[in-house]
Amino acid sequence: MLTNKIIFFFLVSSFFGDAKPNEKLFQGLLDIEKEVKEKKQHDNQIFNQVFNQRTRTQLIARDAVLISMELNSSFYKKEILQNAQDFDGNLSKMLEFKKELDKIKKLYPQLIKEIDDLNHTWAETYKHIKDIVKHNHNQKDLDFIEKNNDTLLIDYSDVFKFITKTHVSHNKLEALMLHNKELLNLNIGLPKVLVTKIIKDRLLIHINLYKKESMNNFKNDVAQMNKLMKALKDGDESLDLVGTENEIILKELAISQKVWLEIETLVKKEKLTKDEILLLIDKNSKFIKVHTDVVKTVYESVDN
Amino acid sequence: MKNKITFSLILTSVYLFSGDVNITKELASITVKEDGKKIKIERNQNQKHIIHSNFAKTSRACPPFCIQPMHIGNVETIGELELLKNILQMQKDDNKMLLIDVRTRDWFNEGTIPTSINLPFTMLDKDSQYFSKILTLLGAVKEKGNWNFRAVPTMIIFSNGIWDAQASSAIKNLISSGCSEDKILFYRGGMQNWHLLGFTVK
Repeated sequence: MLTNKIIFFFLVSSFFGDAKPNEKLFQGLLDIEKEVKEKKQHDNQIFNQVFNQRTRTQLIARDAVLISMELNSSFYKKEILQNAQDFDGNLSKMLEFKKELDKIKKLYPQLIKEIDDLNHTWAETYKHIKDIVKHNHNQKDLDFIEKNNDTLLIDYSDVFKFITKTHVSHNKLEALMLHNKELLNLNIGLPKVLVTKIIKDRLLIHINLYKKESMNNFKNDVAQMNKLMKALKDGDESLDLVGTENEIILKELAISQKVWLEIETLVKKEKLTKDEILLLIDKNSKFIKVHTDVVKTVYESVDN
Repeated sequence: MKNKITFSLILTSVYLFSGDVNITKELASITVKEDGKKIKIERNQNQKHIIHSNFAKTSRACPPFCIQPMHIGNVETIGELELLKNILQMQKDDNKMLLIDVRTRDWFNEGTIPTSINLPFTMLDKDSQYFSKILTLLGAVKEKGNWNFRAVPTMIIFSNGIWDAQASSAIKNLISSGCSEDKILFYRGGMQNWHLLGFTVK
């Protein structure tokens, strides 16, 4: 009987036209949405300054090696200078967010020293980058850049981590819901950094520079890269990652995984020809490009 | 006589034009208008269609994704048929009823039930800076420090479904702010059930 009444209601009601919307409510909600968007954009500004900076530290180090190898030097001089200018610009912009940084420093006091170290190390590195662009092969400049790029990477990784953590919601349920996503956000960009670092170390091995250290780093980073790429897809308790079922992310991860495997095959060769080195650099750019799509999708997704 | 003929035509048209996957034996779809556009709410007619991957998981971590109770206090819990009936009722006069998706914006943007509005549960938290503004927009009035919800439309609240606490959280916050339980309907099945049944998602 009830079902018959419901059905009859549907049949009759379906011929009624649409009602006037509750305009005041809808307009009010639109205003709130606009306000929330603007606030998010403002909050993201400081976050945007740390994006890609970690990868830049490795691109700079890699290009310094290519310049010293005199491989397309004029091209890589432009590249290294551009990356250095971008890095410097973003670092300065980040430091302008004094109010936000002070808030983060209160929560994570260790950030104070990290930022000081970062500033000091970068200032010196920048001088050496400008010198290497002027003089091609200068061992002193190359040594400084190679010995300090890890410091820059570690310091910036911490800055990235602390800034990401402070974007966590104040609502307990929402913060809990987003915990896995927060961990994914922290890790999803790492493959870009690792691939560039691996290629840089392979080039150092190729020119017999810091061979033992470069070899150790190379082996560890290749192992870490394979573990990370698997963890992003399938999860890994040791990395606190739960993996993803998101079809778009999985599809995009498969693309970057394919490029990584091509890179891995090349870097593991005992000897590299000039053409293979150029191919490796090309694949480095390709990996960064395709993996940036993954990062973007992850940040925009709701469920992983 | 004219009404009988009209009614028979209606029944016949529903019978003739219904697909294989109906809502009920007698009902294939409903048509609603939103932002001046017609939307047909029906079930996906592809019998091989499978659920969206966002809703394919069986075992999300609890907490925070714990199974939600059937009832929240004395709030009425409704199913799909009741929801559809209410959606049609709202078409006549949506000042009396609102369908509210209380998921966070990211979830809402992935797809929601046609005619719903988005009010993230985080904004229905007393600690939210938007809390008072939203209650006022809904029609609640502050009287001597307490909220009066008399003029607020009946709110049908949903989120992701039986494993998601966003709707429960929103409902509990509204009740603790003074909203009477009969002003709220809880569509517990949420987007999980909506997707499971292949319903139109906007």
